[in-house]
Amino acid sequence: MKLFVELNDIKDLKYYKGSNIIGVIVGLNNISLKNEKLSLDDFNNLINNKGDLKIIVDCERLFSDEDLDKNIQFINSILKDIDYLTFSDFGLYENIIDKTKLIYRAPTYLTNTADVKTYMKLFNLVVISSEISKNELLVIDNNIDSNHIIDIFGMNQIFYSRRPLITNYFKYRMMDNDPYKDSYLVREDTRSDKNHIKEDETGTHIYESFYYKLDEELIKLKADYGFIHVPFMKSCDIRKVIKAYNEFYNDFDVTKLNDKLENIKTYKGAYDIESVLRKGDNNE
Amino acid sequence: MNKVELLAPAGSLDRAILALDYGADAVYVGGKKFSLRARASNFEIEDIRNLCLYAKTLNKKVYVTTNIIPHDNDLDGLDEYLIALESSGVTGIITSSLSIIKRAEEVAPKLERHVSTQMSITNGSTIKFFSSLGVKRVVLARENSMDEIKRIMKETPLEIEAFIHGGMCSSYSGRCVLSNHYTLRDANRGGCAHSCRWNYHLYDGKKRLNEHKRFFNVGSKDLNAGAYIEELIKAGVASLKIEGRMKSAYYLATVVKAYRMLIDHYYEKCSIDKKTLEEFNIEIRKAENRDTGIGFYNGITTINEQLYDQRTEEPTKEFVGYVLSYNDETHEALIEQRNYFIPGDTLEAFGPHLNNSRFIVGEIIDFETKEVLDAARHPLQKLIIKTDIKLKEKDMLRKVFK
Repeated sequence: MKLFVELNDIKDLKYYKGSNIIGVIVGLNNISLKNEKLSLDDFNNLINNKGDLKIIVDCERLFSDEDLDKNIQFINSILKDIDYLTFSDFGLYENIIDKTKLIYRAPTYLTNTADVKTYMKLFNLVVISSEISKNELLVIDNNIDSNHIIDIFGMNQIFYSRRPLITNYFKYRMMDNDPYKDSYLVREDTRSDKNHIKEDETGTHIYESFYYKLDEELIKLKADYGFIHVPFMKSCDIRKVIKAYNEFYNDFDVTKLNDKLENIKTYKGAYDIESVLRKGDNNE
Repeated sequence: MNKVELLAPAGSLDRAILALDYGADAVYVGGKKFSLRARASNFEIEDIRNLCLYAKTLNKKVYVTTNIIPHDNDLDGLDEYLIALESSGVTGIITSSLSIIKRAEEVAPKLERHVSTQMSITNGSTIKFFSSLGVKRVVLARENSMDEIKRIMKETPLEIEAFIHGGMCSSYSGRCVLSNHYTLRDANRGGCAHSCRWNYHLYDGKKRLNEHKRFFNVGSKDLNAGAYIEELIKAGVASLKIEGRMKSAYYLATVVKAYRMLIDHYYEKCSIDKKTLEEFNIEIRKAENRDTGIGFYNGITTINEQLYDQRTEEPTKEFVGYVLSYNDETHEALIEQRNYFIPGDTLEAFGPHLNNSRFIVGEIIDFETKEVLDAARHPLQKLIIKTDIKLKEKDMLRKVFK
């Protein structure tokens, strides 16, 4: 499996190396869902200094017609400089001039073999949902061609709203805080864990509480590509993640992988739940 | 241009029939599998068949939701189910899975395929994409403003369905797994725990920003788009959809009748005046148990569309009785009690063919024992009351509070 890793800061580009790290995933203002975004200057800097690295631009937000009008020209103009573009809005697909560069990614949707196969016929590449159990993931991965992608490390957005919830809350409470800060967290009243919450021009996003990771499952997966997402992560920890997974794909040593990730709070996320129970299911 | 369809939800066969009787042009229901609102999905195939037979007598339609985002195990029995729906007379399915759309086309081609709001459709280009997949209709995301809907309508090759009333997700539908992560209940397979309506604390780093008990809330008011019905019809929207498969018969009857009145008024007068809209809102408020707003119809939501510091679900105590029969000679109505009322109370009767009509309760007699009662206090108790208003079976009674 070859890996793409999110690049949050252009200054870290030099650390994105290793025989198994083949590319970066970046965010840009107004078109990406990813939390950290590069400025246009930094993006151009990346294009000029990427070396052998492939570039994926996250274009996963939902667009109104007006949003498409404002952004589609820019998106089409960067296609020549990048390798792929991840998307989740079929409207974007309709307007993209080079559809071979598209990767479909929406973590809640590709949750079964039939849909994955259907989407793979429509789009060049797809990312299987990370909101399924690891057993379900292994079944899907086994049932399809290897030309697909799996999210192997990350922190999903578990809530994506068009509503400016932080802005509205500050207005209601008559507080003059900046609603777009990176440092906000929410905690449900009866729980102890906190979740990042971030508002930007695309809306309000709430993230799961910890980073999820796959480890031993990776040995069985036949997917050609893996994505590593590192929202809100410090540079020093991103380097650890890059090193850990790059070396894992040389020696396939799960213990060493987890040792290297020891100081980063991780869990298996949705992958670790045998089945996410529906209301009415027996909870035994 | 065809007349707009008023589409109502129903969580049971009798509520589906009620919705059709009270003026819906079509109903949407869920089966025991494949449908969100797992708790509301009480329809066996036999129920669906009977519903379709009833709808046909009224020249009305039935749609069935197959709108879960399925996992592999959920798709067992899909082909048989789709074939059974087609042979039952169902007009179409509402789905959020591209593979279900494809499968339905292959095994049950007479079924219309409608794309669910779970796919979060927010632009015209997405609708063009779906038109290439043999879809007949799309249900727009509730995040579209009226201006955005008008723009979509200018070029759409497909029928468009828009929500006009009921519960709103705070997140884009189909993209929220808050419930999954907090409670293990899958929001996209019928188990949503409505985690967005809970109380949260907001922090900036380690510092809590909200005062104790003045929570950070993400929950949304319900939608009431009565003020936009005229624009929606003029724009050419094919179907106006009410949310609420888990809602009561009383809620359904009240809301459907109110929108029926509004839509019929538009077609009669070619516009909806302020007075009619006020009358509509008075009617609607009789059924609401949560604050309502206009959602995204006026653009990006403001504080007016959010629920803060309140959990406002109040069970409505207005609905007091369900008419089972009426004797034209004795003027006695046999009713089934739903809430407390006493002699001297003013009740308002309404029904599929009965405009609001008020009367004062005289004697209340227990149907079984013939005893004269001082109050109607037991749910489902059968009672006899007298009124000159010519009631019919399926009419309803509500209390008028002073």
